[in-house]
Amino acid sequence: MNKENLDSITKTMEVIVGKRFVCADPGILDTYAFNWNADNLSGGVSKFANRPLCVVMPEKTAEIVKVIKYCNQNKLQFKAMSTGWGVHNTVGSEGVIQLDLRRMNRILSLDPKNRIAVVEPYVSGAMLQAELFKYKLNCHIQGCGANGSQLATVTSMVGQGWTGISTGFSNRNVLGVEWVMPDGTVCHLGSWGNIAKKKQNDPEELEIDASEWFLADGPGPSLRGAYRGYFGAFGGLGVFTKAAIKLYHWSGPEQLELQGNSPTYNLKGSKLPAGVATYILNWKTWEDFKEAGYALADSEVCWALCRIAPFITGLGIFPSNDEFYEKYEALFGELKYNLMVITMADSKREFKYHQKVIKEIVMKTNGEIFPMSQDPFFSAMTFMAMAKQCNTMRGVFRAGGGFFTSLGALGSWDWCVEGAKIGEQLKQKAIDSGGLVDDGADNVWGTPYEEGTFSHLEELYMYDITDPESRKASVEYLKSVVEAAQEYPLGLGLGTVDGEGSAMHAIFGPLACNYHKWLKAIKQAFDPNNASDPGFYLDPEKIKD
Amino acid sequence: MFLTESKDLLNKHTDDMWLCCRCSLCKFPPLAQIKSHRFSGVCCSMDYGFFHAWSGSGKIIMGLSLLENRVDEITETMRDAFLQCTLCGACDVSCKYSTNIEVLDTIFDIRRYIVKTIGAHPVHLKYLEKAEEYYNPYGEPHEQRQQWMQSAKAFQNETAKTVFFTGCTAAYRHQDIAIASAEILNAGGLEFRICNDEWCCGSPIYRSGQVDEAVKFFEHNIELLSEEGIEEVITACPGCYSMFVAEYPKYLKGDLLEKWSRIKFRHMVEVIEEFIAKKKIEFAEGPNNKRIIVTYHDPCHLGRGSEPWIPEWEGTVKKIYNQIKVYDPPKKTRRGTKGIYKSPRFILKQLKNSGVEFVEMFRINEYAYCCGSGGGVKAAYPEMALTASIERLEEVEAVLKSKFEEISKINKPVDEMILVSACPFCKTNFENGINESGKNIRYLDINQLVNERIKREGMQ
Repeated sequence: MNKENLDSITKTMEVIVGKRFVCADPGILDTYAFNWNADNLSGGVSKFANRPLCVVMPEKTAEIVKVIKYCNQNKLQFKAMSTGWGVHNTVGSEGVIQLDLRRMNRILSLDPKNRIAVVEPYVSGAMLQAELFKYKLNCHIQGCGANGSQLATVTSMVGQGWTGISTGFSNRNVLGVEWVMPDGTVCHLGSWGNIAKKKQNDPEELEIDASEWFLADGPGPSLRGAYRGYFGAFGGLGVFTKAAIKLYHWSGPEQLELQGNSPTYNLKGSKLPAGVATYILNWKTWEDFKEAGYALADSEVCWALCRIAPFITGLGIFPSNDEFYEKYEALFGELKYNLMVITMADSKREFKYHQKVIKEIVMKTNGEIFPMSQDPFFSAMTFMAMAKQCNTMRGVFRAGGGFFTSLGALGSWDWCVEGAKIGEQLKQKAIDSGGLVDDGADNVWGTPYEEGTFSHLEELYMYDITDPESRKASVEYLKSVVEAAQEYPLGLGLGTVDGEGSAMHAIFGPLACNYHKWLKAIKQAFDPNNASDPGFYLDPEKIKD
Repeated sequence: MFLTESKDLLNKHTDDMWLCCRCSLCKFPPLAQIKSHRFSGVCCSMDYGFFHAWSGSGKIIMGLSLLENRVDEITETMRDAFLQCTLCGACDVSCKYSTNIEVLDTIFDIRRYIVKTIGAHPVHLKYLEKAEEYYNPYGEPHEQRQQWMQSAKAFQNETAKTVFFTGCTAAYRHQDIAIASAEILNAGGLEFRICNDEWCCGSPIYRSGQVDEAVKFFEHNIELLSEEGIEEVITACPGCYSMFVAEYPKYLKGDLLEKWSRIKFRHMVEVIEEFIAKKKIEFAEGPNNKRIIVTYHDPCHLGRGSEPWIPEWEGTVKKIYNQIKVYDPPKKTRRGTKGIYKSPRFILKQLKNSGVEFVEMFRINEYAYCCGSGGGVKAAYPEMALTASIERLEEVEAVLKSKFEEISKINKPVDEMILVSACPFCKTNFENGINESGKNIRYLDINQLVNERIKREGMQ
């Protein structure tokens, strides 16, 4: 694009959002091109993906509407990001306007009685949770950590979290949205569709009377299946500006009091709150692990129930790689097919019941309570890390800086376990070549949700991002994952998600009921001008009928 | 045009740049420590500049962009993104909870590269010019540097082996802090002297990226202290203190480094803590028997920035589990957690019987929010400094009011709400912020608070 046209666009944007909140400086724009996993998309040679045309930072919905309408009128594309972590937040091609929603960071409504919070895009899990604990409430936080956007996970991504057994997962927690559709039309879904009113002092904004919420996904219309579906549209189907999020009971204290300094925070006195118990449960075979997973999920006693492999547990607990190296084998060497379980009770009687159930399931499934997990220091840190979702990053990124997910399955628990077995074998080959971190090959993480009616397990892997050879190994491994995901009937491999959307859908659509044709129809219906950047979602022009 | 010889400053951080995964942890306190939605930010640069480039991660990414020649020039906007940063180090603390990235060192070296390539900010150049002529960045007469001593009800012992290093801001802008410090030292019976030929510690020049130019100030001060036979340096300025303990040794060489190593450096809060512990001072009621609520702001250079220098690691890097680097011997890392956090809190708690109620803020210790004045920001970007100050004052007000209401429910309301800190530079910026925002808060340096409550002979 020539300078004249760019100037004209940025001037228009400046009129909409204010001069201070528009930037077209290449150096600044590069910070929007750089992201996690861009190296895998570039074949291991760069951490930069596409540079946007300019970055625009709106403060309210009305401004976004104006930007989108301008894009539609001028054959431009736009792409929104909230907290912006992951390459799918970058623009799919150069020449796209990036909307950075950082200024939209309010918790608009918190309704403890009906357990609903309404948030804007830049409210992270940690921010919302800090307010919720005061009301004995909690929210589902995606496994990547509490630094991620609450709105993005429920509206636009597939997001599983460690406490999914008691807090559901991404698309199950969205109760309503304000959605600026790709043509600039504002759509309110869920009960909100009926009750949102224009603000008296600012007719461009909507007022929410939280007391009127009474049903999550209705009686207003629901288009959840269309606007986000299974995986989310990765920012390729308009902009979500508000989301009503389902909240859950929290049996813990208003604030977790901590001791120590970074990186060795722990609960004060290494003492768990009343009613809380943490366990690492261990089995010798996948089969026993599978049976135990079903039983634990079905028991309804778990606040958290998830698989975090021994290697990542160790990395998350120890504050440095040096300490990990020194202590890991001795402390975690015996851990094999394990599940992390946390129970939270509101009474002593309930607490005892939880303990009894866990012990009985462990006994019946030939498992053991891993002794280390009952150490007070370890136990307290586990609870802090799980409750606040604060140790994910060091569990996966500190080892080599390079981290991603690969083969995975979403469905029934035993199907997921079958996927884990395949993933383990596939990754072992890559590890044997030396390029990936040798995490024992089995490094699946995941959890059953909602009494085990739905589950997911995915094979994580790590590499040294500062080493070109290791980066290359990562790229090669991901290629093998795409092939394996076609060979084995596991569905769309998770490691294939964060890539060029159309290409992946073209591969996997025919293997899964031609879902890509439905996506194409949705995209065309809602976005006739293809204005909403299709890069990580689906470009209709690239999908054959 | 990029100066190729300066690219070493970028090259040495290539791994740090690749290791960034843009998770944004650098924008927040460590996740475990987020206690409030309202006060969940930790980067005053980001809170002012908004775009990702203003964050710790953003600056590192721009560094990689420069290293890979992805941009043709360093624009004014890029320069501002780098310089609108107080180098407070909060990003470094938050990132290092989870990673091995040397965020602050990288940002600082990129700043040096920018300055070497396009020159220092004009305001920072003025700093240097004034400091070179007057030995202080304010351009005040050198011979008046220690004039404040004449107003102190304190005496010095010119043969003492301990020196009170005044620092430019306490010498020329906040003499009340220097005076209070001298009076406290006398009250505690610690004999000290001042040096008339004390120069600026070099902090404002150094932190603006003009490192080579700052080194001669380091050398002068250490040479002077050594020649005068000084064994201990006490200062009330965190900027000076952190330069002495964390930055000087990086640049001093040979004989000068040896001389530096023979001097003990202490901040006033450490000295006061010792006075209290050894019962060399005791406290009486404050002026007019006022009861006050105070909260404490951790100055960045006293907290994160005063963690002592660690000599450059030497050893062998090896890979374990195929691709995880470990260091033999294990590498020590500065995490900003070993600075001075306990001493001021100890002092404030000891003042309880003197009518002082102490309450903590949400963002404290190694994850404290910066006042916004450091790193050359106050001079070059006063609007940003003020924005940060007011953001911090919002938090101050929130916790003080909450405590005020709590006390009022069970007792007579307290007389005043006070923000206490231990830094002359913070004082300037907070007082500006209080004036601008009209908040009903008073700022008081911890030395002044202590000094006005020390029980002295003849007191009623």
